[in-house]
Amino acid sequence: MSASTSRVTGVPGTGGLRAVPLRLWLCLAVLAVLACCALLPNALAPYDPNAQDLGNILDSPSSAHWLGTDDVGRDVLSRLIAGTRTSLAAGFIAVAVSVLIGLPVGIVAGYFGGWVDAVLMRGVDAVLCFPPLILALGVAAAAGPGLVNSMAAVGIVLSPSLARLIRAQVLAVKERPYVEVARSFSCGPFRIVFRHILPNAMQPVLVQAAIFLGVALIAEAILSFLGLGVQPPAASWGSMLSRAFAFMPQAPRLMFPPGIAIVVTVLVFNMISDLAQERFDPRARDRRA
Amino acid sequence: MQRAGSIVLTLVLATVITFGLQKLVPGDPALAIAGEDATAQRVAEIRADLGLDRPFVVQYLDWLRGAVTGDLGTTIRGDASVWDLIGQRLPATLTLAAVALLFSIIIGVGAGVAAALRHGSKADTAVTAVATLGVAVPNFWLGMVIVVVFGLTLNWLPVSGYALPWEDFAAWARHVTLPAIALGTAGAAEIARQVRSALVEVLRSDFIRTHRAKGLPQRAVVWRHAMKNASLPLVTVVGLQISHLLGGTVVIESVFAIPGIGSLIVQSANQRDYPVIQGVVFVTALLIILTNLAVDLVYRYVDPRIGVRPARRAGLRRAQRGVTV
Repeated sequence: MSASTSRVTGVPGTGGLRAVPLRLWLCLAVLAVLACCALLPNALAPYDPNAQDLGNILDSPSSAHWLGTDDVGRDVLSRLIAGTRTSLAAGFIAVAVSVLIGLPVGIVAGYFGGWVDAVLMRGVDAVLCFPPLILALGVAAAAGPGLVNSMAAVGIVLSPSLARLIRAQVLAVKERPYVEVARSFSCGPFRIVFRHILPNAMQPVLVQAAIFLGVALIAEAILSFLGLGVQPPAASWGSMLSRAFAFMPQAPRLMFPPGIAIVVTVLVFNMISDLAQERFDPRARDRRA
Repeated sequence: MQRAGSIVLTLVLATVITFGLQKLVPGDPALAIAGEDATAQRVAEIRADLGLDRPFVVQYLDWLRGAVTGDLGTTIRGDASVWDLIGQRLPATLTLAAVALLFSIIIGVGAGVAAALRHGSKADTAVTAVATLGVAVPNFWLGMVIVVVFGLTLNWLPVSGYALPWEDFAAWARHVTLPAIALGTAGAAEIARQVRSALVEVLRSDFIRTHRAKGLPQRAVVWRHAMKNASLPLVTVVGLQISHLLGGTVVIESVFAIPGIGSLIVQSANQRDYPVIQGVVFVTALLIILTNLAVDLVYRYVDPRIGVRPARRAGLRRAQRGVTV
């Protein structure tokens, strides 16, 4: 597609790989590293992440332990790698739960309108008036600590925002002529929603889902930090920070590996969301420039 | 009128959610209190004492009546009133959140305006980059870094404990600074992003060019005319920040050992003290509903063209942008 015209902006571009912005390459590189850590933790980790070595506690970084050891002598690098899978899984669970709840609610409210919409949106408003973290804490405390419970709680808390977003999209798309045509061909509501409305309403939802992944990752860190997420001895970035906090005066360096991993990952998800938005909505790029 | 009805309905639904939380608890709270070797009769007695043998709706209405009249029950051990506990701890949380909000607004608006005025310059790029980073940094991790750098290494300010401003102002100022910075940074970053993009758009509009053309000084153009038009998204994002700050106190109070309602709910969550959890969830929801109402009123002040619609617009904006934990 060299010397072609960009489909999105109508502006001539160089096309091919060179058209891919540097930011996207950076994001892809980080994602590749994360994916390797999440999929092949045992191949990459130099030690068993849960193996204690009480003779070498709180060791500084060395050639044997690149990132040092924690308060019971576990290798920090191995735990960081093992925690990648847990933390990413946590993010995906929360996003999946929020989509499973938010998508149907948003579609039904937007498509049917009227009193159905009014009732559903009041419910959404009611959930939105809780600080997300406090509600997630309440749900996680009630349902019991653990990765799945706490992340389901985060997903529930995130779902109203998604429901509102999808509702707004459906409201906009359902007035378009092609939907009217489909209706005039006596398509059922199910077919109209899934064949005609949803495919044209999903772009902002995907952008939002990328942001949610970052939000959920931080939520996992917070809930595990507070003892309600991942339970010991399993490693997640949040539970590593929780241990690091307990030993902060003796070994402040312990908080940097998981903390930086969280920041970089969230940054990458946010950047992907920005890039996706620019691609879907060229005006966003103009505003940025 | 419609707005008032909608607020009451939201509030009622919020209380249903708050009360419903305890129904998520797996197992029987009465059994948990009685212990595993208790007789069936003892468990039934406790259940009757707690009123757990009544239908859900009756229990809910009973709890609601208590909540409305200021009685949120007692802790699960029965040694203190939930309302008293929250009352003792709320001032610390509110003063901390207020300082954090002030910090976010001052830094966020300042950085956002500076970036918008130098649109496209290196300063703009720097502000945008720092703001992007600021949104991605978890506040409690920033808090830990601050504790290590400013507390344990430089020894500038205390990193644990709290005082109330009306009891000892100097001690309060020392104790509130670091946690407020940790709590307010993400908000400052979000506000800076919003103010920047809103102001850049407003500064391009025709009426600003007219003001410039008639020789109005830059300061007046920006602060009197452009900011007034860019303040609608600012009000939205500040309203959202209040919700985030209240949520953020949960973990910041734990990092800085501040006795507020955030650390209270964490303790209660770990002890599974549901009456206290419910109480804190209820009180924070109430605070946020009041905040949303205030934001709506400010909207009308900022833009008199607005009727009842901004609530909806604010909700949409919240759905699109302002979701953090």
